[in-house]
Amino acid sequence: MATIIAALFLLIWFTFLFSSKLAYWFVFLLELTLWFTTSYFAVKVLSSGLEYQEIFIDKFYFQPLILKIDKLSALFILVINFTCLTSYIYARKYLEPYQKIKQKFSFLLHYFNFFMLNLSLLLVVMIQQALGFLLVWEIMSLSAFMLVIFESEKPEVIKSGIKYLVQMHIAYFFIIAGFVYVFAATGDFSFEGIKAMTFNSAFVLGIPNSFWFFLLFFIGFGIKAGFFPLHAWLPIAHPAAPSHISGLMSGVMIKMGIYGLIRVLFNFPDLNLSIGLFLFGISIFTGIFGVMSAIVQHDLKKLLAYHSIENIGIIGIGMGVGVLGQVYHQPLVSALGWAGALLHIVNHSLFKSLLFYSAGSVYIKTHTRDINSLGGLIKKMPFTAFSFLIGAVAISGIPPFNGFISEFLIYNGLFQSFKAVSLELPLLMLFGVLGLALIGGLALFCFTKAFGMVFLGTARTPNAEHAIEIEPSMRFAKALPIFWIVSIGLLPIYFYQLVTSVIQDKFPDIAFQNLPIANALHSIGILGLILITSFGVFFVIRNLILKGKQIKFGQTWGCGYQYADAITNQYTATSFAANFARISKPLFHDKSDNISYGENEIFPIPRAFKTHTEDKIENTVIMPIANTLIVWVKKLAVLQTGKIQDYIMYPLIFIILIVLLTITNII
Amino acid sequence: MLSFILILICAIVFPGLIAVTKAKFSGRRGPSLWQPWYDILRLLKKGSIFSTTTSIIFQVAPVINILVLIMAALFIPFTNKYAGFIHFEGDFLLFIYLLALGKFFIIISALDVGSGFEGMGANREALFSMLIEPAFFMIMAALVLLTGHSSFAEMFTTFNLDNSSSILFVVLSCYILLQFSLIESSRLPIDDPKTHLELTMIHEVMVLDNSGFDMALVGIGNALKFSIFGGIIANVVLILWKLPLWSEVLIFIAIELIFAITVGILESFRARLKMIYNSQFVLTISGIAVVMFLMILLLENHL
Repeated sequence: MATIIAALFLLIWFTFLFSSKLAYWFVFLLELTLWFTTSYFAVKVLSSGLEYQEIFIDKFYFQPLILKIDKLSALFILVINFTCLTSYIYARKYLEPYQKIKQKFSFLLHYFNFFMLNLSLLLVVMIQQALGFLLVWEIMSLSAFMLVIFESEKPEVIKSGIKYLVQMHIAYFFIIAGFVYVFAATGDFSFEGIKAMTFNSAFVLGIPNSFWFFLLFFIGFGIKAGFFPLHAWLPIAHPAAPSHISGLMSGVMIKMGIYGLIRVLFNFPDLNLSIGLFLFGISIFTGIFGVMSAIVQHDLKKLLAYHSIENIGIIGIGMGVGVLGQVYHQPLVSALGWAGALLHIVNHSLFKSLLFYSAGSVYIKTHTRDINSLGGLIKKMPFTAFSFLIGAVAISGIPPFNGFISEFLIYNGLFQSFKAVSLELPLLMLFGVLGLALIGGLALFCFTKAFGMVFLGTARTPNAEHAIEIEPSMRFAKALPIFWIVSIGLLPIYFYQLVTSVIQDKFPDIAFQNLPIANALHSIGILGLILITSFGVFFVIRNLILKGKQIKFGQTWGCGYQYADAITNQYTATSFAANFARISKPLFHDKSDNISYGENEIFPIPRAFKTHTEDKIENTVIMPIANTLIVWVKKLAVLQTGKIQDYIMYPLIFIILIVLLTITNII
Repeated sequence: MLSFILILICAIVFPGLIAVTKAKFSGRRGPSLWQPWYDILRLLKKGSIFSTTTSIIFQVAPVINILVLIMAALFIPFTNKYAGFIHFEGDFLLFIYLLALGKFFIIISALDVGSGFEGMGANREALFSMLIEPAFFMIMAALVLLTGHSSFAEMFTTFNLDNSSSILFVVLSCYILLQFSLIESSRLPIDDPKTHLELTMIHEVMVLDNSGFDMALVGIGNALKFSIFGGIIANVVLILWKLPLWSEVLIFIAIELIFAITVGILESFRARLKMIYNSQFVLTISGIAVVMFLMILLLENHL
């Protein structure tokens, strides 16, 4: 595998020699090789249960760099490869309209970076030594940045890209700090080193030492994943990126943060209550905050980006249940939590990429992402509407699709804890149940709004009215995730076996096949099948009955008034969210911009009315801190004189200082 | 299966009984007990009129809704004697999420007609059902806590009346379930099905444009939904005693009928809440459910 990866890495540079059309197929060829090679090894690891190891580079900073695939990596490899596959197929026609306005080079660069992102994502899950890991992690962030700024002629896209890049590097600093801490304590610069960590029982601010160590990694990986309050880059970068990249970033790249956290937690020697409580609590808040922000959002891709935050919250709840179960010695609770979290990672990569592709299809055909200017697209783009509907039902956690299965596992973990005779664990899990139930209800609220306003009713603007269905290759790219969404929903037992085989080593005492939940999943699959078939039969019968009757078509009921304008008399996304906005006032502030009438304005001039929602948490908690920081950093800018003499002087002072301190034996 | 048949039987008399009770309390003779079914039969025979704005969603939704409700009815066990037709570990999760599936489609079908009225109803339904959802989960969590099992059938068969918290559970959960079913089926005090102004409706305004066969399906669905919740309440009450089968069947039906009459009485003497207070009311019910769970948790741990 190492030779193939090395060869592909050399070949990819030839991309720049081709025309943009040929380059697509050339990169496709390289991608196919990459997918087949890595997936082959991943499947082998999952089926045989044996880890795969290979030396990648003999001497990489004094030690060999090893590619290692264990079951966890294998699961992630399959998720990465599948999402990259659909994303790349989708990209071809999605980028076509840009060919008129953009130069050839930007396409070549895009394909090149797509390959680099794919490769670095795979290497991130395969390399466990810190130095190599950090290197590919950086390549991942950089290539993703290049992909995000594809529409670089728009200033706001560049601005979003820079914001993303800056936040990624803040995260990078924390991850480095975490690894350096491990190295200093154990002499092992890798994930494995965490296993050998020993924590003294010292408390800092009343919290055990190990928690502060965990916090370093949590901030680092949490920024990537988008945990509250580290989520700020998600709703900025996702709308700016081309849709197939949004799907890829949301479906896979943010999961790398989760991957890192899982690695840290799986290797953690001393999981204590503070870590579990922190992870669990912040995940519940992340989930609820994400979906609440999504409801008041009217930019379709921003809405989906906030939903990614929500789903990271759900995955985090699963992980929190996993950790808390371990802390309270309830292996079954813990196992179900982990299994649910892992399955939700797979599920989210499927329905979120599908939803982003659908949103992208809407954008590319109507040139707007504003939900309030769309409508009635189900008649113009039936397949896109269908795919969005499947994604919407799945992401709301509603059967018979895959979202329900992973939430079912997490719920079962939570309810399992109520069987334990203790006070603390059920009390904590209560918040998990309430949180998940609320998130589920809110997601339903949000996606009925999104689907209803974008695809149903009457078109609100000419753009939406003249939309046409997308090209077959894009439809094919969307059919692939739909296939797996339905498969997981109808045959959950096999995917349960898949995720439980990943955690089996951690829970050697649990026979996952014989748990009652395995039976339950079996029944759920069968019931889903029955539901779908009986729906088909019943719908045909209904249509046969209706055939014999008089069917008329007319206007929508308008209280007896026929002449109302069908477009303006519809409910809008803003009004749909209005009653929710009222009860969520402590968190969000609905602002409307309008100009009031002037005193001498006898004949009113034409005016527009616009509403937008402000995030109060961002305004009152995050912005003041950021602003204070900016003030202090600006004071430091005194050093930035712009004179080259000064810049030479600084290192000189530094060197003299070092020499002096060494002579005087201070360091 | 027994409970499924009983639920179907009760669903038949349910809407008529509510109407009759309301008529009696307002001093009218009222319609026949079977009037709602005459209406539904007439609707089944009628042709349909569809808005030109609608799409396939509008036609699919009533079918999905009724199927989901039939499937949900199969989950309900019959006291501690018979398990529901469908039962497995954590089945109540599928039960509640199946209802959500039906709701999802009814809501988007309301948005499908592109009318301000229907949008209004859809949005209210989505909000209130979201806020009440935790209440049901809390009742189930309390049952898991009391019995140590997590499926409908096992929870009701192994329910132990010996400890003091059981009575507390039965009383409180009956109250919560009553309110829960009123909110879920859009009755007073959240929504008045007999109101005549589109602006103040919730459920009725969502199906404003349905007609003929589809409207009949919606009507049957409403009756069935009520009867399913009545069935759960009957189960909760019946765990108080261990009785022979025939008397349990009679009591099951009696409780369902009393439930219908209670709804009728409540609707006769209660005014609809102001729309903006609805979410507070719904959240309060969820809050009571959480308090109930906490009380049982404390009592069970013998503190």
